Amino acid sequence: MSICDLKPGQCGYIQSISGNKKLVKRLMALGCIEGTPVKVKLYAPLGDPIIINFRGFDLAIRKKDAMNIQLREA
Amino acid sequence: MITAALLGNPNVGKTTLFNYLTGSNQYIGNWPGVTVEKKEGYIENRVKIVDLPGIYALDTFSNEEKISKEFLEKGNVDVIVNIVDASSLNRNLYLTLQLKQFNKPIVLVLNMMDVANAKGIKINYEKLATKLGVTVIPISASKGIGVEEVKKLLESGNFFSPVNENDYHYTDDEKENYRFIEEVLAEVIVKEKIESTTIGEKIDLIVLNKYLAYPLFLLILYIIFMFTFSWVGQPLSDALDEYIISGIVALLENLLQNSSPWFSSLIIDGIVGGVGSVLVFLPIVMALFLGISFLEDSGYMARAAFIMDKIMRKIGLSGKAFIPFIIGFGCTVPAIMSARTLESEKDRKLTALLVPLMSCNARLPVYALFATIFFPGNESAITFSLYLLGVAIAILIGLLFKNTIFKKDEEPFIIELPEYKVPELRNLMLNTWEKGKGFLKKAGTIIFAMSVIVWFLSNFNFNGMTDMESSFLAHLGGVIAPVFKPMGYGTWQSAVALLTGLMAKEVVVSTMGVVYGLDLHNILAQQFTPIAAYSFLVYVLLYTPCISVIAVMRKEFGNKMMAFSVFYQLLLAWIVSFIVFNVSSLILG
Amino acid sequence: MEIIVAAGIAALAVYIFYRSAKKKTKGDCGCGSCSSHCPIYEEQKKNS
Repeated sequence: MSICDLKPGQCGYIQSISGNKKLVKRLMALGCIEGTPVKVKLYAPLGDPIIINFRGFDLAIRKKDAMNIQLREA
Repeated sequence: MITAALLGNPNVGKTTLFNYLTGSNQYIGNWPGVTVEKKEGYIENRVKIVDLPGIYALDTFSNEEKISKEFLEKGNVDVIVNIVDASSLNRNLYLTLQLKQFNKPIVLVLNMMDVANAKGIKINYEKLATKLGVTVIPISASKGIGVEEVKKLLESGNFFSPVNENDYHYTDDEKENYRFIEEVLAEVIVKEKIESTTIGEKIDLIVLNKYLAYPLFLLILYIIFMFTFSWVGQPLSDALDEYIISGIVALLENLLQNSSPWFSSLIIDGIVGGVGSVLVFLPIVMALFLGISFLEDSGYMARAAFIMDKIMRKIGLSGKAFIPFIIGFGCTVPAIMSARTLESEKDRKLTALLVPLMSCNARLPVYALFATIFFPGNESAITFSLYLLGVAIAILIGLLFKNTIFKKDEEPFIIELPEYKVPELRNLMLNTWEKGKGFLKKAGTIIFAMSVIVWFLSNFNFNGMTDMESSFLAHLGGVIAPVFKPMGYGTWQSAVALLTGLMAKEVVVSTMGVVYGLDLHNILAQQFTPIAAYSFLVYVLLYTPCISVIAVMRKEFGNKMMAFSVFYQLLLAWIVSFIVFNVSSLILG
Repeated sequence: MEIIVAAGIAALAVYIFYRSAKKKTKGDCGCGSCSSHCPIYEEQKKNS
């Protein structure tokens, strides 16, 4: 499942990131790596982008890009 | 001289520290990406400090990173001042690890210690310093705490001796790097409190709420305009007009009562009428700027970018382009410059074409003048509507360009949402004062010069001094005026005001001040109907901002783009103004 | 006397106009708040 499958307020653990190479690199540099707990905070009023929280800070990311962040199956 | 490079994540207070260290007054906002190019400053000619754009890492291919990396490699850097957010060390230290590869001494400045303390975070500085092989200084830049120590250390040139190859922990595997950081932090950080829901989170739930987000966004902007017009700016501006400008006029009239009429006209109609008519709007310009600064410092801007992202995407722009648009409300020139950081050529060009539609500060005096005359009591609403119209037109034009000239691709976009904070009074005051100073300088130079030139051109023709109706200016204006006839302002005076406004938009006001003289308000009220006045403002909003913008457009994108942007804006302004005039004439009869 | 003063003012205005226009064609907006992004930032720094 991807991070987009979480509802606001739900948490998960990151498994892997794929997609656009630059974006993957950027997210990894921010500490979005395997095993990191991540929480979806809320969706934008128009449903996109979303705010996710990991390592103690909030990041806005478009759904299309967030789809590429895979979570560990519970 | 020692060269120090100031580096850190976006929005951790680099520029605040820079300003404190060098005594300069660079622009600061509480949102990522305010610094787009490097800036230099000095501590007493002994230390050169270079403020670099905020970055998260050095190898993720963004333009900001290129600037920073290049400087670190080629800039003869003696010491790296790496400023980090102490309340979010985990992520901030990633960049620190990467910086070690340059084998330069690193001063790790732990900023926002006040925030970290409030969160119950305790840090063992000595241990952190030893573990990472850096010098650690805790500070709180926005409050000025600890800044002196940084200054002293830099001046002394006494840094931790760095070069130890084994000291370098950065690998190509992010996982390894973060494992190392976590190991270090586990030993140096004690967290006393466990975070519960913060106030910021509660604010976000309201401010970003599905139904409330957009109404609140508009409400916040509207409050800023109320502040500018109804509460603070306009009353001050009226007072300035009534007591100071009128006083000066009375004094001058008294002094000049024995001079020739033409001479007193030059001084009173030309200089005072021109410069004074613009100068009275100083409080309004400053009030609006204060409001926008407040919003920027509070942390709301990144939220605005967040809720606008979907719309930006609709017009084919990356979310990062939001930054130039916000800067554009101040001045179009730096806004176009800041488009440099956008990654794709298409984004840069489209942004540069749309940014001039954001109403810049220089247009404000024109709105204020007409709104007070034609829409008394509704100044805020009228001005607000013009700003919104600019945005709406930009969206429409964006859609048009997206589907015709610029087709395709979308850059991924991520933006960090900073925590809310109460804006620092010092920063607000400095920014606002700086703005006021710029406005005064403009009044003393270009507006003064244009007023005098306009006075001469409107009182002379080839036969010498003449009646205004047969002056150079009247002839020149008469040639252009028919173009504006369909919108209800086909007088030579309006035409000339718009033409001279290309030097700077405030000049639209000063030119009218000169050609209509001191009785500007009453004469204008006869020259325009309210609908024509509003259409005129629409034209002022949308037509080519000024020659500085044209010059920057040429510099950044070449002659073709420059010509295109000038032409399309002139045409656009005419069309929209025409529609506004005719539609409202039909409706309002 | 008046003519001399007026000529002085005119000369000053033309000079300032010329100077500003020259700066503006280099992209100076004179808005006072944007030194960091301004195209003539480098030049200003050299002069000061």
